[in-house]
Amino acid sequence: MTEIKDPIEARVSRLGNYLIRAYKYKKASILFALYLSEYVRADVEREIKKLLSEQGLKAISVDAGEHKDLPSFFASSNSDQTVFIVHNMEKGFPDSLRYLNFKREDIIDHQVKALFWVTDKELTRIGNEAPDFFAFRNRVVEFIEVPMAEERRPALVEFALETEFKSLDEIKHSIELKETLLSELSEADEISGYLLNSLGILFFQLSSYKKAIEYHEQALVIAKEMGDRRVVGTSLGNLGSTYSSLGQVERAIEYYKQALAISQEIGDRRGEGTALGNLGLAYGNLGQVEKAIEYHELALAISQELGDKRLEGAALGNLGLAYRNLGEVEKAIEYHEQALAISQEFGDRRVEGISLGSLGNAYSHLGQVEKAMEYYEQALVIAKEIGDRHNEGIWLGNIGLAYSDQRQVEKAIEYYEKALLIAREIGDRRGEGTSLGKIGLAYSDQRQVEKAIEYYEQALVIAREIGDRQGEGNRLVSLGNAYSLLGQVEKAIDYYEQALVIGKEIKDPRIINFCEENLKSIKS
Amino acid sequence: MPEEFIIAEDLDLAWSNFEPFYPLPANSPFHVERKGKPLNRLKRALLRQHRQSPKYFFSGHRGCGKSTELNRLAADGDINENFFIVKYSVKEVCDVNNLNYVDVLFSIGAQLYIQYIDSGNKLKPELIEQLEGWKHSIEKISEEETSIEASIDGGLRTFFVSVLARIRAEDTTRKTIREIIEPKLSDLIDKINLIIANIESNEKKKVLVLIDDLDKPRLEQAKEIFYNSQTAITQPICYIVYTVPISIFFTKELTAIKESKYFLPNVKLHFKNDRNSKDEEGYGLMERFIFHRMKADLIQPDALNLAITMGAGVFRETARIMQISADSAIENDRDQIIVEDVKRAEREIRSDFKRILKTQDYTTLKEICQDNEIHGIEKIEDLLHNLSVLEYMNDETWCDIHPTLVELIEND
Repeated sequence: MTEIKDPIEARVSRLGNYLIRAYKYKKASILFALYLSEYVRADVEREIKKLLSEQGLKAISVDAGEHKDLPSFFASSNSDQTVFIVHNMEKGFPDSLRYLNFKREDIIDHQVKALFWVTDKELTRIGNEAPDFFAFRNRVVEFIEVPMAEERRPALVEFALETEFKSLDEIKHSIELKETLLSELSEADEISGYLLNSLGILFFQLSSYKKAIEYHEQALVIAKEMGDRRVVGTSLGNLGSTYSSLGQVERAIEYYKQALAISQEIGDRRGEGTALGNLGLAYGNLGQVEKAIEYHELALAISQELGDKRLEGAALGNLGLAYRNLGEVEKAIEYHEQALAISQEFGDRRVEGISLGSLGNAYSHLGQVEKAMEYYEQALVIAKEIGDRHNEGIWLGNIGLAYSDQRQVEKAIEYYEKALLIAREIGDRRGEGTSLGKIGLAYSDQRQVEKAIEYYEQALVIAREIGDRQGEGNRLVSLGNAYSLLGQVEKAIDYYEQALVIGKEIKDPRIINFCEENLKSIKS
Repeated sequence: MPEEFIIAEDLDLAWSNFEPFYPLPANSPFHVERKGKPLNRLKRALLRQHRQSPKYFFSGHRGCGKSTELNRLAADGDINENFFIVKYSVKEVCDVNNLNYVDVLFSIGAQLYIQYIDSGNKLKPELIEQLEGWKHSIEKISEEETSIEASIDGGLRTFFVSVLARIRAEDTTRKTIREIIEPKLSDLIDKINLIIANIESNEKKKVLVLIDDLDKPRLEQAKEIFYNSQTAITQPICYIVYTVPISIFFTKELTAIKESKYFLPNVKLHFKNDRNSKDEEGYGLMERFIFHRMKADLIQPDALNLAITMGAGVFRETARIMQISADSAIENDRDQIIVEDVKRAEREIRSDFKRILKTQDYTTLKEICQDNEIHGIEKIEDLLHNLSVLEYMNDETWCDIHPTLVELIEND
């Protein structure tokens, strides 16, 4: 729904006309101006003030962070000629929302003329948390433009790079805004590079991997054109991570190696550490655990050299993961505990949560389910606290697994369902598929094989939709198992063979071995 | 506020006449008579003989004219002949931000006393004496517990006003006063009923209390008042009309009192499950609403139709659409509103909705868009509040999504 925008002057005078007419007819006025860039805001505000002063009106700028009870503030400093221009809305939340909602009629009774500067996020909150006040609005006018002058970049860069959001709605809003902005930028430049990059990351968060790849590739092209090697490296790394999520690990390794080479070439040690860690994870996925450990050790060394605690925590955690896969669970626990200590020391809640959850995984591996549960619960609390929905879903799923290990299948299903719900809420298709697969396994454990098949099939559809080859392989294996349980040998063989093709393609030793063995035993 | 009611002959004044804020005062020429006079049912019910004084629950959508209709009811000749009317807005005497049933009951007692005395009447000396005694019992405890400065003894009126002020005050003061009154609630109700009885015997009329804006508190507080304290708030022996939030109006907790519920419906513009049909009466009413505020030649007929459709039969929404349309026409140097202007308003209002709707809301809206049925009131509480879902009524209640959203939902 693209709309031809009126020139900025027309929108400025629109606001001016509302305020001037309200003055003329002695009416109140509740206007919203939606903006993105502080620079545009400053320009527009200056123009409006000029318009108003020509009519003998006086504009007062109000910082909502300093006056939470805006209606009272308006009432106390109002006059016929006054127009309040309010900014910094979020600083006053949530108190200011309540005052506005409950005292909105004071604004009308005092014939207050107010213009509220709001960002998209702020306006959404006003609409939802102060709905009666919002119902009184005269109008919302948009000033979503990009400032062009060079010195105005920092705020925009910050917006362009922002990728940490807590809900699907926020992610979707951000995508919409960024895509609009992108289409408005006349030529490819640094900003469009940033926008493309963060769009790639946002789509990655939504498991829309194909779109993510498209954007990262575009970002890569621009970075190359502009000769910005560092961004080239980042884009390559992002492409690697995306392909890795699609189960195309070999391809991911290629990208990571290119990213590694670039970071070494330009002496970007942090980038080098990140690339090494990614490579370690990728080799781990391919079952080459020793190689994985080598890379993680290198990453660890760099992080210690740089004193980069975040990187160090990640490297330690990754080492823990690798040792657990080698079956050296005690060693794994040591590493996770080190990672935990670092995160707690430096207040990195995210890594703290992940470390706790990983400890849970390790203890679960050791069969110490109660201890595992304790860690998962702690991890869960942190994930909720920091709004990390993705990991919240993962820990819920793992709690389910732990219950399943204890043969408490119904309880397990309950937790898988919770994880499923979160995955759907945050649009994480991959997580959705994983949860569906787990629920299927649980039903299969209860000998409800037909029901299990239903879930596997749903999960299979998702894996194919998002191009997740590893997930596809896993689901095909599950379907093979299910039909084998039902005694439908032909169908079982068919699924195992399909799975085997994929397993070979992505070089997943687990899938390959499993399918080969099963096919052998069925056929004999 | 000083209000002039002049039918606009140009778009500039039309802009001013379509402000989306105020409920209309009782005798405004801007008022349009709804078909069947929706409050006539309530009026008739009030005028009927009752063994016990009835309590009525009154609701309607945001901006559909609740306060306007209540103002008219309070000014109605028959009602005034039969009742001593005490009308007040709860948001003016309490803190709607933090409200419980003790506040509501106390405000009833206080307003009965204050409004009766302020209109030059007197209560009988025995009652005054009793009220004084009760006042002292409350003040005594409140001084012991809060060491509030010794209150100046300004008589009963000051007492009521000062307790109301404490109810509106910050949290600790409010909490204290509630804690004093609550255990002696039967005392409070007793005093309220004595005042009512005294007024009724003096005036030879029944007492009718109209409480506006009780739909404004936070939902959970409204539920606490109307669900859990229903018995308490129906104790006073006078007639009472309570406004209630629309989203609890249709819940099962309030269905128990079905016969005393009155809903001010939105104006119906089409029929259930047929968005292309046209309810001529509804269009006629909205057309009058518009032409009471501006001259007919200020808008093209097609534009008028579209503006009415997009206003969804809600007065405030229609006013906003007309205001934006008028501004758009002025901006383009026209002296008449055309379809293009209304379409701009439609787009803007759709954008406003897009900002506040959440992902899961779209699923609900889609369901409603398809069959016009309410599937579980709890799912649509917020949607009713933000007007993305609107309720209509003829023999049965049905609902539809806001017309600006139809295009968006159907193409989703």
